[in-house]
Amino acid sequence: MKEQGFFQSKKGKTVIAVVAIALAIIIPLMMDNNIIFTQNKYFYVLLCLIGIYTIVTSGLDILFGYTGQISFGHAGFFCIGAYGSVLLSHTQWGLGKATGYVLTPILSIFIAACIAAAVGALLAIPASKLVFHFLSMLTIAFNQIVYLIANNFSWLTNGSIGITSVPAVTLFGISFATTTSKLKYYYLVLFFVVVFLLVKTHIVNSRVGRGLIAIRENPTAANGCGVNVAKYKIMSFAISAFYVGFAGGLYVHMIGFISPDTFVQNTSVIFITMLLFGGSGNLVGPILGAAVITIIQEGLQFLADYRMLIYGIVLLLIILFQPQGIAGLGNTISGAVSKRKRGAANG
Amino acid sequence: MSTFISLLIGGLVLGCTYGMLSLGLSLIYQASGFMNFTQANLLMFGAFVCYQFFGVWGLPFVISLILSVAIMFGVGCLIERLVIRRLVEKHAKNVYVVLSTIAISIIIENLAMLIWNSRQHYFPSIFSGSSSVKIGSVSVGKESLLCIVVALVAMVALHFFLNKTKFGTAMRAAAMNKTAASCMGINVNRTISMTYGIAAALACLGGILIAPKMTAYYQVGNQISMKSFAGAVIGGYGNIYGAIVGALFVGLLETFVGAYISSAYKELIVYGVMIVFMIVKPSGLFNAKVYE
Amino acid sequence: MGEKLLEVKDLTINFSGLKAVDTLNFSIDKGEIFGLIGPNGAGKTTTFNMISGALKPTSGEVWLNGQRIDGNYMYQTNKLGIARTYQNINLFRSMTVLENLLVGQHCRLTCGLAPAILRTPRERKEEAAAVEKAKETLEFCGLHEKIDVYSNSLSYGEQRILEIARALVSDPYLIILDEPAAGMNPTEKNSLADLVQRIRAKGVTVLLVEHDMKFVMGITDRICVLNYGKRIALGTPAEVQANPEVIEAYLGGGD
Repeated sequence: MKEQGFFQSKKGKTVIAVVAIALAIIIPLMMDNNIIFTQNKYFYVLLCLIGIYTIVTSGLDILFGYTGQISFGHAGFFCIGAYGSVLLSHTQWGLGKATGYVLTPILSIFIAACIAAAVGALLAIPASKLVFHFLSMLTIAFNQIVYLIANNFSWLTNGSIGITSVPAVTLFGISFATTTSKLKYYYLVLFFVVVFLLVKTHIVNSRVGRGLIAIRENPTAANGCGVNVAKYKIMSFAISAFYVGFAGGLYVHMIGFISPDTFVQNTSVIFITMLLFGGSGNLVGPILGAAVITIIQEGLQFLADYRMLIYGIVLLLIILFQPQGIAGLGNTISGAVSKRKRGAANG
Repeated sequence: MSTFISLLIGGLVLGCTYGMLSLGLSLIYQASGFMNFTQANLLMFGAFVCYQFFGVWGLPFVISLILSVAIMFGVGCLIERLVIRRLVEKHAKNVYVVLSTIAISIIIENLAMLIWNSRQHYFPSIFSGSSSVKIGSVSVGKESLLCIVVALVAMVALHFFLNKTKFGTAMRAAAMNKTAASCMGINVNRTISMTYGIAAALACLGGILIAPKMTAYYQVGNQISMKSFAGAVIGGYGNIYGAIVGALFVGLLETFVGAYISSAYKELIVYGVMIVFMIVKPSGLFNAKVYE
Repeated sequence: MGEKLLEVKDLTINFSGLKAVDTLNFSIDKGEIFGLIGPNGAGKTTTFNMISGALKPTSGEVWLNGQRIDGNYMYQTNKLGIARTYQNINLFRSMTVLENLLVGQHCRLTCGLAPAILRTPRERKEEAAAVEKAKETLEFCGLHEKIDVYSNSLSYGEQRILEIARALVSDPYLIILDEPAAGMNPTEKNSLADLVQRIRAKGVTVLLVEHDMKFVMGITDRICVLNYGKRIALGTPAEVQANPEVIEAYLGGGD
């Protein structure tokens, strides 16, 4: 979006980002001390979830919005990150059970995310050669396989019962146990959200990012311009999987419990819905999508039976009428003025 | 030996059901170049519609079957007309078309859950009296035989429809070259719409035939969706004969792995075989053109 | 005659039994403007695709600067110094003109993922230099006023020029132009001819396919004529025009 105006300029965007981060820090703090807002423990959980899903959707966006590759199996990476981190840090399961030695949770999250990235790269090797239809199918099959492993390999994952008392994150002697303070964990999540979003902007505005966008726009021309298309697709998959895997780790150490049900195919669909609802191919879209869908999801708890139906309908309506997502709403409304849309909607 | 034969029959029944889906997937891929993730949930929905007619309202089975197949044919056409065609006409990226079929699939699944709740519904037996016949020393369920016979009849009928009728020829022509076909006076939009309808009707038929075995349950679609894709991929995506062979293979593989190795691994093995095919031989057993 | 830049030896490709290009031989000298012409379906674009790495030849060899390049991928060929345009324009449509040219420099830039994430000083410097280079090239091609315009809102002729600029910005030894004048009006064609001359003056060798005979005859040094995948003539424009086989191929009703 190259329109003029302060908020579109680089400086303006930095100002907005700083203000947004400041608000994200201050408001929960005020709530905690009952200034203007009143304290609500549940609200922190909601904020944490929004943060975690922001990382997920941003990661998915690198793959879908920027590289133009689709994945219907990102819950699989979420699962690898979550189970990976639990198995590396839990005293009674996985590494702890086998060797008696465990990793501190934040390190375990990082390593689990690296494993997710490696799996993502492996998955992308055949995927980078396949027609995109097969890619969607391959990713669904991947999600199913990860779920089946989590569900059936009881010796490793305790099967459908799941694993309880997941250790809390401790960093520099500070405990981020959600049982004592949810606010602290929120700040931890916020920190990683900022880091991941910053990394994302750096990537997409670099030579590598341009290569990814070039693949989305025109693979033939990208190849002709010296972009190693297969390599970049694999890289995009790996980066995306790292984001989602890391988010999975943050998720599980917040909830403190893990079971396979969280990682079914529907979760992947929810991720996609978040991304498309918010708008892909930009920084704000994934944040908006994660926030709105998470709030809807939690707000509509009493409508739990209708939840997937609502997602389905929302997804269909977005695809049909607003492929830019809500981040592109302004564009659509002022469509007559600014004809050029940056999103990956129509090609 | 008798276990082997009853397993064989069970595998064939499953394979035939997957086959009805894989057939639809291949037909649609041939005609429009898209994957359709709605197929398996259309099967589930079709089974429920028939359950409503036959099990709840007590209509005769044949009438229930014809009614529900006709309804699902209409649903298939509608999906194409209201969603797929709109997206294609807007030149939306292929990804969005595939996504839309996933969205529809979720909508159908959850509609079924809301209409018929989330319990498994017992599908009344189709035949009165003794439910099985003896073949040699093995007793085989009549419903299983019916499933295999009807599936075979449907497949043969489809073959003749595509090759011997004017409309079938038009469909194949439209699949090969849209522009040329429309120049020859073929209404390409209508043939594509019909293809979606036929695919949905086949899915419905498959659903009705498997329902006595699997019960009518809103998550049936999710359980078998990937397996029908596996069948289509293994056979060669887009080749209708490959789809049948691939689906039968998947049905048998699943049954025998479940019986002789472990039922916990049967799905893993099916997906594993599918992924190996995708990597090593994406054109499948029947050398389908994977793309252009 | 100068040094040889590109050599094509016995280049052949089969498409399910049909020989689209059949034992084709030619070589291009450094600093030359070389034309490849022929009736529709003669195999010109197929030849281009084999040189640039979009297609693998069935047999035969392509040599650039004494290095064998057939069977490479396009991105490798691009790095070795061949840049190309496309008959049916292949721009990055929702990128700006500047961004198109930054992608064009992909093979000449070196920063990978880690420097990008950390925004190292080296990365910043490289990016700034790349933007400068893009601006220079746009100036050279006369597109500098459109630098921030999205490429899909350029006129048809401008899109063709942008493709040339995007190819040129990677500092190639050889630039391959696939029907650059297609769809251009006479004024645009004149400035295109001028641009091609200036590209050559920069020291970049030009290989082009074109249907517009007047255009080709006016700017090329030598021409190779193809018909049914075979070379039927090679020489200066005047020689080629006088060749009876060429006249036959063009006028004798190709069928």
